[in-house]
Amino acid sequence: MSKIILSLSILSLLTLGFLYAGGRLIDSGQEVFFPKELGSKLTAYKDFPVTWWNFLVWDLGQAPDAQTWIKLEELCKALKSRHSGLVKSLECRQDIIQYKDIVQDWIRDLPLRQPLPDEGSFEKIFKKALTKASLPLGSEILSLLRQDPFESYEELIRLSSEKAGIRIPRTEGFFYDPALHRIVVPVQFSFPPERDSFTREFLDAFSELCKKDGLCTPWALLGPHGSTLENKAQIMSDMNKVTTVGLIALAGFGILLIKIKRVRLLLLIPPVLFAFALTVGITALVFQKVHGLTMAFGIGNIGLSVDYGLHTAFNVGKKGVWKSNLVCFFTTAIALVILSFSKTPLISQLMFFSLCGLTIATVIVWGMFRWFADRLQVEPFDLRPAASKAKALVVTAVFVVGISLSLGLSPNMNLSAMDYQSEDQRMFRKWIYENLDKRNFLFEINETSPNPESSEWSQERLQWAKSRSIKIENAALYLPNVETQQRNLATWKKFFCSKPAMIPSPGSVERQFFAPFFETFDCQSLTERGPDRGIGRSYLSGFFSQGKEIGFWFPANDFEKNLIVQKYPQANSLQELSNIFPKILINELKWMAPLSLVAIWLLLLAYYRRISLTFTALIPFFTGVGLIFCCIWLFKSELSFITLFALVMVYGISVDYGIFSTDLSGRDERVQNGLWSAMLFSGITTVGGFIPLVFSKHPVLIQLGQTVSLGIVGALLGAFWGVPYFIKKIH
Amino acid sequence: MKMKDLAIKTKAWSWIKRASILLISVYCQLVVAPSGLAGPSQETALSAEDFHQKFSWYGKFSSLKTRFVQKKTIPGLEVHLEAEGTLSVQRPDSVTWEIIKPGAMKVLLDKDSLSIVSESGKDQEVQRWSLEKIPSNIKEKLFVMKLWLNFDPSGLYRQYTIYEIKPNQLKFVPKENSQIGFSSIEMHFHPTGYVSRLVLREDSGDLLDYTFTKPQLESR
Repeated sequence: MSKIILSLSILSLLTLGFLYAGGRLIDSGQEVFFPKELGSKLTAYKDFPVTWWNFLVWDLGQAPDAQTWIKLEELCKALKSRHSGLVKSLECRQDIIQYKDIVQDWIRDLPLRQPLPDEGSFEKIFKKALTKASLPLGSEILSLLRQDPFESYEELIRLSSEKAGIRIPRTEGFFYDPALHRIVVPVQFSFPPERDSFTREFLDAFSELCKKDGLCTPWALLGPHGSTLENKAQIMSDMNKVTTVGLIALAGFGILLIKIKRVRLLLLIPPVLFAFALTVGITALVFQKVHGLTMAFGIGNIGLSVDYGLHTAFNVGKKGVWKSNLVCFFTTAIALVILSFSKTPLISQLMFFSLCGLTIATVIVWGMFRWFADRLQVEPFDLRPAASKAKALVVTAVFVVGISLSLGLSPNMNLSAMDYQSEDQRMFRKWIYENLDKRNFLFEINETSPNPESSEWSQERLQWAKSRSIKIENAALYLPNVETQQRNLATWKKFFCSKPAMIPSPGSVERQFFAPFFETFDCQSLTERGPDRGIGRSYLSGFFSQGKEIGFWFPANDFEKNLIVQKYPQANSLQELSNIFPKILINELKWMAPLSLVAIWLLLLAYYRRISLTFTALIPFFTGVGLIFCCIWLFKSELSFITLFALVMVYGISVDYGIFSTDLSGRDERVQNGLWSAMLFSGITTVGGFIPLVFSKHPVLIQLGQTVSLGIVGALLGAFWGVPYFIKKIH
Repeated sequence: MKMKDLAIKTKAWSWIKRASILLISVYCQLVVAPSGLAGPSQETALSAEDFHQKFSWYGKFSSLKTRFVQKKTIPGLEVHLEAEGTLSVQRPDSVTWEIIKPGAMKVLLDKDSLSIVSESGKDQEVQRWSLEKIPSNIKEKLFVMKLWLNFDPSGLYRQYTIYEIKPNQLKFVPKENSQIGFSSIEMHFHPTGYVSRLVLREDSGDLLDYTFTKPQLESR
């Protein structure tokens, strides 16, 4: 009883320690999902505020009446006013007032964009503006007209509307789909997607306002911010769920051990937890942070060390136990080391974590048996599966059928396998992307240290695109090149400095009414001004970030797209970037899978020195793989690159059972009892370690949990039903 | 919808708003033009019957034309914007508000559409919108306008509380929930019966003061 208390005390202490330390080191971001060459481009893309647009989408449930439109307008006003720090633009109603800063900069740069019209036109423009001003106008529009009698803000509205790119018509100022009664509100945040606490704050406010008026169920935020938040939240939620289920499973295992009077085996748990806590620290030192998915999955791998402990506990004093354990450890380690070379940081981190934890735990377990073997020894069960041809046939059938079925499966190698989407998000995403004009675009980032005085990079592209009638969106679209700016500015300087008589005289109605305009534009201020690249302008700032500049292409067809890519090879589409991912993975799997197979096979060959025994040791793996594919086919589960990586892990783990069962050949009954008992318990603990992952919602965890759990069950089947028969045949 | 259309619509809504507000003021003039009745000097709300009585003459003409001078006063700004032009009405539902000074601009409304014509000659710009496709808040404004157009005293009485503040002077105060954009409307009548002055106070605080000459009427 004292051992149980001791075990539980250590377990509790370490769990608390882990919860405290782990909470500070956990990373739930998406950067680790992408290989460096892909991640750096995606990160660079996401750095530009112009990419911080999302779509807030919701169902109204029924056609809105006048009262609902009023409520929607109030909702928008409340969001804008209460959360102005979080939102840069919220396209509910066409409200130019929210773009006050942008409009002011835009008006200020008028002399850079266009030459002053001839003297006659100058007078006409002021008369036209005065005529308009005489109409009943809102104070905001009137104030705008006073600053901008040239009404250049209308060009800004036109450019901004084009940027939205939504095919859904506006009703009452909202993008509204009358067929589905759905509202879309484009929202540009003032912070990058990684600052998900701000996104959460905004969404909580929206949700509250929505619920208050019964306006939106269901709803979703689609775009970089929405996706980042949803994935992060799901990873954290899954981690908590996996931990809870894992602890329940552990408690259940403890009760089982008490019932079957094998309480001493509980002492094997604290080393695993200790190794886990220590590995969290080491991984954090090496990788700066530990990803939630690594921790959720990694403990399962570390738990493999329990297998060696069980093997030894049931066979204390027997020869060759640690020799088998060592070979098992190395076969698993080979798979982990090879997979750790993956370019995907998450996989690499996961493998490092697993290998580090497994090594530490194995060393501790070895030490425990080295010095306290008699206190850890447990009585084996009377368990010796008989060699049976029928059972061997079942094992062979599982393998053959599984492999045959696998030939008809096509793996999903896309990044989507790593992206969690809630049901609402999935439903809205398909619909919104069908209604977007600018789904297929290319972007290009100017990485070279840009000259603040020169806009050559974007100008050259704009001219090239214009000459081929290709749609483009970059800073040059808003500000002409330096020479043109100088020419335009000169016309304004000349007029304001050399023809004062042509300017409405002080005291005149024009001069008084358009005072804000004349305060901005006079001889002195125009003389002091020079050409500008626009980096500091609020209407252009979205195109610049950390000394880099971004530009977008909107090819109408593949021909235009090819033209762009030929001329500007750095132009990428997000789709193409995503395609890099499967290419990298396929390339990795092409060498990792065969290398793992060969390396482990060679290790086994060196250990057994007989080809037949080497293959016998692989029977559990073959059955495990067969069972995985049979279940994928049967339950129509997704086969993704995550599954393929998990298969390599299953290879490393399942070979342990092959080695244990093959090593039994010619051993006495007692040894056999010990080994089969150890294997059964190992299977239970390993499956118990991975099965909690199945209760999560994130596709990465579900697929890893399913594949490894099924693989281990299959491996046990192969070990118990297949190996005894084939060993007998060999002998 | 194409993006260019969207951009045009953005511009369009702001213009429709302006035009509809303007047209409401036009119909204020229309309705009271023929009344010209002296009232009690006390500021008392008119009863529905009295109000119906004041508008009984309205159905007797088929078209109206009058010149106007407009003075706009913006609070906090020491400047008055002056404009001149002509108002023409053709019953049952056509109206033109034409500004000729300081620049040329025309707002036209008929049964189906609203148009704005800026400038004249080769610089002329015409924008036209179907009444069917405009937002509901603008529709509400046009609905009020239609009340004036059809000379529906019952409808108007539902929209406004009408006071006879002085002899030949009526004040129209929009009732609750009205979104026509004016906090008050004041009308001054010439002793012969036509509206000589119309004072509109916008929700923004701007004051629009119209002076009308005698309208030329064409009887049915």
